[in-house]
Amino acid sequence: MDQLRFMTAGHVDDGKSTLIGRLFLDHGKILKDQLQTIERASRNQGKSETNLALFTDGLKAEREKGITIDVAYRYFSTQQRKFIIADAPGHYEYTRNMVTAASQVDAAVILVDATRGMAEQTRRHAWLIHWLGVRNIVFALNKMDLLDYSEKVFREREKEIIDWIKPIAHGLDFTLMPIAALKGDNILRPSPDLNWYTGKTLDQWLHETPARSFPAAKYPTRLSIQGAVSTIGDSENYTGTLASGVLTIGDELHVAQDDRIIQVQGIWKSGQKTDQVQAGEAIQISLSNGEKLSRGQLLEEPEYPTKKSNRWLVEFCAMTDDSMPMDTAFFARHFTSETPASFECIDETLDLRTLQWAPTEHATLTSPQIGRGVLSFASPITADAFGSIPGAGRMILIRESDHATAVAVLLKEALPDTIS
Amino acid sequence: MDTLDILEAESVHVLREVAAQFKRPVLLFSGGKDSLVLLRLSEKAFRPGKFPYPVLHIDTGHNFEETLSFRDQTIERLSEQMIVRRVEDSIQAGRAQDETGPYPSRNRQQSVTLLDAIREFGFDAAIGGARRDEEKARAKERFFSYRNAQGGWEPHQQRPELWNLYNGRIHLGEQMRVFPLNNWTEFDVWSYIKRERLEIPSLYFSHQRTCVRRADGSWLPMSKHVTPPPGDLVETRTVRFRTVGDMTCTSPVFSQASSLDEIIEEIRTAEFSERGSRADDQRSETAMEDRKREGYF
Repeated sequence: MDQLRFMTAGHVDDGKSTLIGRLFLDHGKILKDQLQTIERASRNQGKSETNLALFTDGLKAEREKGITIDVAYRYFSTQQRKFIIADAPGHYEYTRNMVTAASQVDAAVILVDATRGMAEQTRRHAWLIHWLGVRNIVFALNKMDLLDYSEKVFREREKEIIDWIKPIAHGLDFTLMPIAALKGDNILRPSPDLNWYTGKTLDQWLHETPARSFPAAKYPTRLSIQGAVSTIGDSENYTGTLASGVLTIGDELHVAQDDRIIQVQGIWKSGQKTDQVQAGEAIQISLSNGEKLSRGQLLEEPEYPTKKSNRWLVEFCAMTDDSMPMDTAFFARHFTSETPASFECIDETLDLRTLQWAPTEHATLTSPQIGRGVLSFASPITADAFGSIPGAGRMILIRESDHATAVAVLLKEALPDTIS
Repeated sequence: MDTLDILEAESVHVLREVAAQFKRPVLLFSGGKDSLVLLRLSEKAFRPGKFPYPVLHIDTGHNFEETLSFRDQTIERLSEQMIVRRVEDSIQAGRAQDETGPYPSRNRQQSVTLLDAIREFGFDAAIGGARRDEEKARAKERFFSYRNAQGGWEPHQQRPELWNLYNGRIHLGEQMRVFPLNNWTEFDVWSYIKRERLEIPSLYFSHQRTCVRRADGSWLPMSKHVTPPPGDLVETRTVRFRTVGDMTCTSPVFSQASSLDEIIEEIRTAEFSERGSRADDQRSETAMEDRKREGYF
């Protein structure tokens, strides 16, 4: 059985949590004691109907305020597929938690309130999800029941979304569908009230959309060393998770940071010796000729080397509530390496309405600002640009002062080194 | 890679990040199924080397006898270091107070002992076997979950956590809780126990046991810690335990499941959730969140 990791996103109150509650309820996956708890809590809120959103809003503050603050993860499986669901918050100030969810999924259900159309926060979510590399997206136009299931309104909303998404549509597999999460229309079953709609139900889409497939042999091999494990005598094995490609005993790999060629003598996965491993596997390796490695070193296929520079053009999303000056000191984490870094300049920010980059004079970063700029590193970063290899070019910036996970970064292009 | 392979690789990666990013990590071990899976994953991550952390057991004094002997055998077989700290000692030292009444629990008191042990040894990261699918507050957890200097969880301002880039940076006195099994379901845990042929305490399999039915309809195993008032029904029933915590807060489930396959089938078709049988979660709607804020894992 395969597994799909997906998320729900969209503006606050567009029905994300309700949709997940509905999906579980219709699949018969809300267990008796869970349903009793939700019914009791609904009564405490003075509601006559069961409030399905309470199924995922698990924090006290969330139930009191009736909003989602942080991602809730839910799990269920059908005969065909296992699902891991991330229910992301809609509020502007919790965009960082939505980004957290989006970094973990293969597919996204973006809810749009059909009575109002896309809110700015919906555009922000959709753009960030696409930015983080999620390629399978469905726009679920919710609350169709409040519009008498009008095809005319649906078509207007559809056109609005398609026109908006055009600049980034290349490579996206996106679709649109009408639903009413509260009533269960077009979730598991087609709705008689939507007889003009002939596409998939949401449940069908979730079952048919491609699940996570780890990058195959066609991508260059990348292995970032996590640490060492001592073996017999004073020799060591090295640990890491193969980020892309395959690795076979006898392979020669280039150590990106110090220009050595090493040879893989032994490979272990899941505690067993093996001849070959593929991307996604957590492995140990031993090396020929007593060569040593240390944490953060990146092993790469010599024919397909990474780029190396202490200056990179990047795109970023800021994630702190307070505003950070441009010279804020960060630790940049890329795979298992950590390097001091700071912005050299911030050139452009994204206009969510037109999806065009516009020059900016802002010299500060604050959540959830989306921008482009140049990051400068204390020592060279060896990396591939985001999008060139699955999993490549991902970076977080940790603020030195309070250790906040402050900025999500995609490495776009290695720039010429500054003369040091 | 099948789904168990993917989950295993994710957890092993997390454990290795703990080893690399912290000076004094520790693995919390309860003797239950989830912590047994954590031990196996530690073997996968670090053998042929030793674990880069000791194993810590908080002995509440309300444990099942069998859990304790199973704990000792398991750690001896692995030849790893184990630390035991007792809630009884915290109570003797005046750091915690026993509950009174017919059904006293030490569930809440164990947070005191845990936080004291973390301070005593200077642990900066504590690995636990909690899973997101267990409970609605745990459903919100990160893999690396930051705790302030008082050991408390601040669920409304968690650090973002992107991809598999884990931020383990903390200041002196702060700590991290780490949950490598976050994405595992109860079903995954049992499937893995079967695949790995893990030994587990026989409490998980169907057996005869003297139990007491309390006035609210919930059941507890009879033990020396409880004194059922007249009217509460004491009976021998065929039961098993779906989760193993303290004898004073873990309800048995009526079950004939006496093999792993039968347990897996029982879970697949279960009408109630796993922690529906935990009295410690039923005390209030936010019982778990409240305890986590106080330092529970």
